[in-house]
Amino acid sequence: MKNVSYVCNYRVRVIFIVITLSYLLIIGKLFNTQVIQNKYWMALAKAQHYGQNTLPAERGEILSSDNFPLVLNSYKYDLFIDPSNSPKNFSDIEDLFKIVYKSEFDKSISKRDITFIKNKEEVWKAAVLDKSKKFAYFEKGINKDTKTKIQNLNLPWVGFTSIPIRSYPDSESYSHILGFVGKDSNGTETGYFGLEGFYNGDLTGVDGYLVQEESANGSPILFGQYNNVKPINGGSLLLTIDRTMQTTSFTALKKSVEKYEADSGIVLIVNSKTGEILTMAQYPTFDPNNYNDYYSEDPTIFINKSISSTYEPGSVIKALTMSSAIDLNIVTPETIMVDDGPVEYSGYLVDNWDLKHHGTITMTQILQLSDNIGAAWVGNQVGDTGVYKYFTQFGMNSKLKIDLEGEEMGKIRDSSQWQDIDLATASFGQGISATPLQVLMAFSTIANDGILMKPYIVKKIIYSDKTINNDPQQIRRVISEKTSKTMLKMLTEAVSGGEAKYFVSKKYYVAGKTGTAQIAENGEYLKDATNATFVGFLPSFKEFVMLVKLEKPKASVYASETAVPLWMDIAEKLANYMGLPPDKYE
Amino acid sequence: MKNKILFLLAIIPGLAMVVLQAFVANTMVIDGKKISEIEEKSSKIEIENKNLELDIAKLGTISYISKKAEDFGMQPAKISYVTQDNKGLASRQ
Repeated sequence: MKNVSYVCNYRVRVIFIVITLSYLLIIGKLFNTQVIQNKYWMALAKAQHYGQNTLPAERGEILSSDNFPLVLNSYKYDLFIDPSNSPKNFSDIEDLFKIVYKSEFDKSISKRDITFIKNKEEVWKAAVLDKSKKFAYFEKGINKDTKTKIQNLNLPWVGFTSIPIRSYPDSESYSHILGFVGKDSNGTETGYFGLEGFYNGDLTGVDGYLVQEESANGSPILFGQYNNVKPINGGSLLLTIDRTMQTTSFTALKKSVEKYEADSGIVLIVNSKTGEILTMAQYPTFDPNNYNDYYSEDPTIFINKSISSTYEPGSVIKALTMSSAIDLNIVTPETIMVDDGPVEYSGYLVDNWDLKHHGTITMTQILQLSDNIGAAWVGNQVGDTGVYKYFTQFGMNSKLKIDLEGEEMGKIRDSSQWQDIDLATASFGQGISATPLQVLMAFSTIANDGILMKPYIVKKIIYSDKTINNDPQQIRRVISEKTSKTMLKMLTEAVSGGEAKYFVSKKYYVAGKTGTAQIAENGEYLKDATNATFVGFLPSFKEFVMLVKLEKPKASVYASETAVPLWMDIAEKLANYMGLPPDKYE
Repeated sequence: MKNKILFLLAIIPGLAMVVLQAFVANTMVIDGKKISEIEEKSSKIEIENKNLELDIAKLGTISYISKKAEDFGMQPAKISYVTQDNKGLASRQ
């Protein structure tokens, strides 16, 4: 009996010890899990219980002055397949191929790009090869219509993911104003060129996030923990650009560049009273929806020539030289000088563009005839310091700080470095460089009673909680109101009696100046290539000041035969649009 | 008998609580799924809206409208002006 009791006690003790050790092991494991490895397991549990989703902020839209969207956000689709369920034979997917690559299949068999189709077949074969996979991308960037057509095929092994994209509805007319959005080296979406580049910080919003407790299948649990930090969308830009003026100018410009066989062309229009840019058209252009296609061909196509490209402006500068002389009371429109042949400055001969000489001529005639010798004489009367001072006051040689990416400032050497020849050539626009915008704003100053306004293209930045207004800013008074009025009359006479008279509008008086500027390459002026510029306004209304520039037109080297007809064509259409009645009755 | 009644009184609320808990949990899961589906639907509609906005914008561009007008054989309006007391008066034709 004693032995039995001993054995029982022994067994009980063993069981007790085993159970105790088991408990200790469990406690030890729990201690390890809950205390020592607490952070690891907590994180793992959180990852299972909580779903965190980024709520992407929307990039701001860009609107024309009438609130029409020029840039907005939309979606494209990436097409994926389920390789484990997709058919193996290529013949079974021919219908899908015909929809996805419609542009190729629409061509006749002989014109199809066989290599392209073969490559796509290879992509397909590679995608369906691994039957263990449930997901493989097949084609990216499919549009809505194509997606609908594919969905109508009712293929169970096909699916789509939506990809947000930046869309430009009017794909060509505004490209150089808007720029485009691409990915930077970190894969982050960033604006390049134009407004997308300049206002990238304002257009980009701040992403939000949503953290919520989820069930095993990923559905949110009601009354579970929930933390929603809403995204802050980017600000939208309301532009000063007038849609009608922009499209009218772009259409006319495109026709003229093709007609006159120019390398390129621009049309720039400003409201002289406010500095609002109403039009900024450039041709050839690019489609910002597919900027990559253009990048590989010619990356310089993205450059906005109105602000980023400098050139020798040529004779249009004579108007500035004349303005300075009149403002300093050195000459009047009736002052005369004698042009009886080439004049020597610093050992160089200065002659007229047509090699003709007109004897005694007035200041107005200097502008009418675009007389280089006369302009050099006027510049000489003003002096190098005076000419330099007025040119810089008109906005040359410094940035006008327009709100677009890539503005250049042009180049005028300091007058202390000038020789007589530098003063002479600068007086008629050679040996100096400027952007078309600088030339436009200088003329805008003349039209605006002598006051230079800051050019700008964004009227408002609209955020969800506030709006920032860009109000017109006066940079400085350059010439007196009296000088401005005198110049207005002289420039009107320069057009009606000058080299542009054969193409001038029959309905409206025009104040302006042509500029047929030679192009310097490798230290020499090209013989048969010029930049043709005409800049001016309707003096009775002064609603807009417009610059037209054609680069290397082949049909004629003279601005009066290329840039002037284009300017008149656009001006008449815009006057019609603005309801400005003709002021010229013949 | 008394003990049985006491036992039942103790067990029934417990069982009821378990059933209620199961019901509430089930309802919450179903509603959670519904919310998830609604969110997905809302996101799809939002995407569709964005794409429709783009379509509207494309159809509203001046270049598109003028091309359409041309296709329909429309002519640009001509405005002729007559003068009265040296002022231009417009008449649309």
